Amino acid sequence: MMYTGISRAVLAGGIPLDEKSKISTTAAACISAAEAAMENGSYEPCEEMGIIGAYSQGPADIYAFNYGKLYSRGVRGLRPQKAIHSILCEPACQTGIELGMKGFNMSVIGDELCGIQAMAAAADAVAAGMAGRVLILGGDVESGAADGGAAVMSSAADEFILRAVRTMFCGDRTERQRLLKKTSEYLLDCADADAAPLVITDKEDICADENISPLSGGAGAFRALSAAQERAEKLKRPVMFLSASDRGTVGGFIIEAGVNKNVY
Amino acid sequence: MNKRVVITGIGAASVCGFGKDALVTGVMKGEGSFRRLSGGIYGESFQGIYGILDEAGKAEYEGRYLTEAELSLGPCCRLALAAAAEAVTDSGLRDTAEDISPDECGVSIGTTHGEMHMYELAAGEAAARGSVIPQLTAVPHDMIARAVAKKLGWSGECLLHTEACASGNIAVDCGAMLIRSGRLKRVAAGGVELCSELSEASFTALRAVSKDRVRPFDSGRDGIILSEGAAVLILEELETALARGAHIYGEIAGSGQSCDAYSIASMDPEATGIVRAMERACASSGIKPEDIDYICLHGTGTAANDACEMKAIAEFFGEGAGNVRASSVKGTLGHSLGAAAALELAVCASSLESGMIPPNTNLKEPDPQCSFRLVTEPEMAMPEVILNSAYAFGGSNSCILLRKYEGEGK
Repeated sequence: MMYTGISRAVLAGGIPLDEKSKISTTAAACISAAEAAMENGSYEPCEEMGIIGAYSQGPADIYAFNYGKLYSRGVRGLRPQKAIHSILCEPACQTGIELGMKGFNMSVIGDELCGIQAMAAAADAVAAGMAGRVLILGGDVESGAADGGAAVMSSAADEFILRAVRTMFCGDRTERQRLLKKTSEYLLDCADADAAPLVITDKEDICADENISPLSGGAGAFRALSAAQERAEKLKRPVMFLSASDRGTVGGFIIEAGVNKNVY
Repeated sequence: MNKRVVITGIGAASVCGFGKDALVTGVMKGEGSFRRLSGGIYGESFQGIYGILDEAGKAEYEGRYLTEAELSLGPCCRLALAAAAEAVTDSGLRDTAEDISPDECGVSIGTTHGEMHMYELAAGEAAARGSVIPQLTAVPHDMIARAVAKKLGWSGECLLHTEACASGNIAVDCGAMLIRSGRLKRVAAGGVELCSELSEASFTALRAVSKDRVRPFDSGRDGIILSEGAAVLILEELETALARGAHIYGEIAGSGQSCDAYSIASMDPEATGIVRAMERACASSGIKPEDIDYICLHGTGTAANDACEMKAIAEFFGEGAGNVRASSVKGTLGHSLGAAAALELAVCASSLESGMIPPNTNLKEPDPQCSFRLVTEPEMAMPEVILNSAYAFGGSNSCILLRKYEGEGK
């Protein structure tokens, strides 16, 4: 699968939510990132596109806002149109509404690798013909700001190829190395790349060619994707990102730059 | 690669009781348990009703399947774990993948609010003590799916989906997709939801809550009643299920999703998204609309949502709408948000096996716009193909087509 038009947006705000905000800061950051990603990829938003969101906490600030009203003033203290934004999938839903994307709308909640889970789901969706293009986005509120990321995945683009993506689950720390090896082997098998990939990671204990700073939240995967993209362009060889969260997700992907070839 | 996916196990907890059999029996009889809310944030004059699971029954159900350590997990975790363990037992599997690698088995669970219930419990206790309400901090939502994967020892994938009221359907759809693509051979998929004071308050603020009972597709319907619940289905690649001689409830023949992209708080009144989801489900399975014997409707009992669904069915089935049997089980089960569609899938899978279609309860006078054949009493209809539908706030629409499995392994 190809991907293009990757971007990130960091918006100040978060808990406590501005009284005048109609949507969560996470949603606002995701929408900004999505608009930029679409522009970077020279895409017009279209009805056929699907969306997959990824978060660790989702729209935490609007939940906190509405809980504040509920527990201080009771049911009558809520504003209906704001209260209903308290659903974990709000950032993807709001992005779909703002950009008019009607293909499908899914979200996953997870650890710092949830964005890679979204990438894998997008690859499955494109392969299954659910949509020709999928906007993946992720975000969370951290330290007084919302960090959002987005990228457009497609079966027909020529900037980057997502050669393989996979996540697994490690419920037992003693299995960590085995599952990392298994994930890596799966990625290499699927990628069928001509050259051995450069391996990057955000974990010090994973044997890799290069380390990037640790990922966090729903936007983490987009930073990994950016880092991999940068190296793939510079080195003209495939790049594998591989990681294992302390909360159990093991995952990674392989990308390659500038090869016009559809692997799905 | 396009593998066939079958359902081989069911576990469920609902306002009808604990366990798959209690769910199916209760839905057929139209017997769900609800209680009136009052006091605290609701005030003394509040008239809302909620389908809260019986505490003693829940404790017994969880105690039957969970270890001491697991009983200390969050409330959604515990309920999902118990439903998953029941489903695994029902499927004839032991707790681990005994015939295939754990790396070929995964988990895909859906929820609307995750473990927010934990925060609400803490806030409620603080309020009762007259203490300061705690700040909302990081909530371990993803523990729900992780706990299930950890208990089962399944390492192939672990997803926690969230698509509001369509979460249960979409989690199962994505679980099936993992099998169809050949990546996994077995997935525990479903949904879970516990009481959400914030949802109750939000729907109340939107004037979308019924004050006595849910009456889907009734002329006098006046809103939803929320409820708690969980359902987990064991999905398997057909060949894997056959190889171990598994009991097969039915096959997931196809699915379709779409998004309204219209409003966070309401469905698109034109209902084009719902029609598109139904069209895609048929296209993905090769099943024609006229082959559908029964629709398990989303049917929340709100004036606007039921109207959208009626419009979509009339448009999708055309003149054939009058031939298709349909009912919403939310009159009995209430609306358990992220668990709702998973519970409904469990009921549908049982209907494929027993031939019995569940009734649309609490109906006094059908809405004249209702073009389909609304089933109001349990009916032995022997359905071969069932459409389960789920349409969410935020716009996610999901339809899953189930088909009776006629091959070996029954």
